[in-house]
Amino acid sequence: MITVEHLCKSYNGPHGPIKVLNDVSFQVQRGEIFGIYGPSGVGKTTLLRCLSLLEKPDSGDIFIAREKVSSLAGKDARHVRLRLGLSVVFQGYNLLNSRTALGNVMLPLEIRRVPRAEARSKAKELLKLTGLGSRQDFYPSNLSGGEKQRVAIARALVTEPRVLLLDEPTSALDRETAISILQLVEKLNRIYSVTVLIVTHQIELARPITSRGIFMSPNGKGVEVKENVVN
Amino acid sequence: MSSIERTVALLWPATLETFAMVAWSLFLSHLLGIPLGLLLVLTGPGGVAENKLAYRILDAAVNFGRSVPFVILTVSVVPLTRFLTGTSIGPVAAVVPLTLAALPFVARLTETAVLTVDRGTIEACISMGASRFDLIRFVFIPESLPSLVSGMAITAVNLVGYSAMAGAIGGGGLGDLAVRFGYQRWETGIMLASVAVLVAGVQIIQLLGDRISRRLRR
Repeated sequence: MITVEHLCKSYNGPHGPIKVLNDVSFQVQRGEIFGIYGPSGVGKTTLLRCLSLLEKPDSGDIFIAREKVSSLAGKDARHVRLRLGLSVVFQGYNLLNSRTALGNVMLPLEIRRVPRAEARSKAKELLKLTGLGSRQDFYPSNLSGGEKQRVAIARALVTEPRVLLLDEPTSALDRETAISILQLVEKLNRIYSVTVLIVTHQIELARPITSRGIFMSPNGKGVEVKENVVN
Repeated sequence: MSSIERTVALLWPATLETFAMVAWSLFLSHLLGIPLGLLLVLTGPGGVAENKLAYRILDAAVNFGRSVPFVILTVSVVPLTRFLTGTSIGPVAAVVPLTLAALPFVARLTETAVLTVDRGTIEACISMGASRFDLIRFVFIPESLPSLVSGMAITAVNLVGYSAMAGAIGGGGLGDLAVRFGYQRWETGIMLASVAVLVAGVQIIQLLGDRISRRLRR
């Protein structure tokens, strides 16, 4: 489903460019839950941003459903995201404070110009599935961290994407809530057959639900990637 | 006619004129100023349609508009005022310089308000496939609405002040009344009454603005 080949990415630091991704390669099969592990600051989020077409890599290629997407930006990236069904759940939930939980989940459908009634019923269904049916009229400021994450996951899945990218979905949550969120991800992966990529530094928590993963660790030059280290 | 009746008879139409001047210029300056503010955000540094040249031109234009003193602006736009309203005196004519004075202010307040919207929220919407128009409609305006309303109250208060100045140079309203009766005829009672109405107006605007903004802040 996803192929990453020799991906490199640098940022400009105060003392010259900093290499964040250094020749990263891996493959993700359709329908699997794949882990991208490693401590903070090794470029996991940068990798996820490249996969979600929010950043362009300096070199290397990304293929999603056999389509080369690594060189796309702006409108082209937007069309590919919509066509290939790419959804992202960000680390900070990134919910709209001006909308209720239901309004937040409806948003991707509104962007796709889905009729309001249909968007509403689909969003309600997803909120129920993520265990938030009774909280649909709450604003984000009245939801707990775990509930916000559930809304963010419901919002990412309401369009029935083919690929779901999760950036540190459990880092801000207590252990119990984190496990329940990961179980939810596993359940939704089974229901929707969605390919899931989880970026996390909490390896021991995510391991039970992932089929494979890569471990990213910093070395002198940048980031060294070892495949199948964890599982 | 008693002096109170006379004061009320003078104050009432002048208050209505001031209200109409402020309301119309508030509406028109937001109609034009909000899109201008959004353009500043879109073309500005890190904006979704970043364009250095366009931003520099708009930014300079807004700064220029804000730095021209209101009295000079009013006099210098007389030909435009005449062209648009057919006259250069009275409350209808005053709406033109009032709108022009508030417009760059509204644009800057809009820019500041929209820039407070969390960058991550904007990116999340981009990742959902939102176009620039979707961002404006679903994110920029609704998410910055509480700040926009606060800004609107500040602009309205400024316009009340400007409208009094416009009144003094032929624009009508409470400023005109205060100058003609209070300053030129030494009728202190009328002058104080005009000022009292202006003060009350400002208090009401600020109170309403704060209330609505607080209600919108979730």
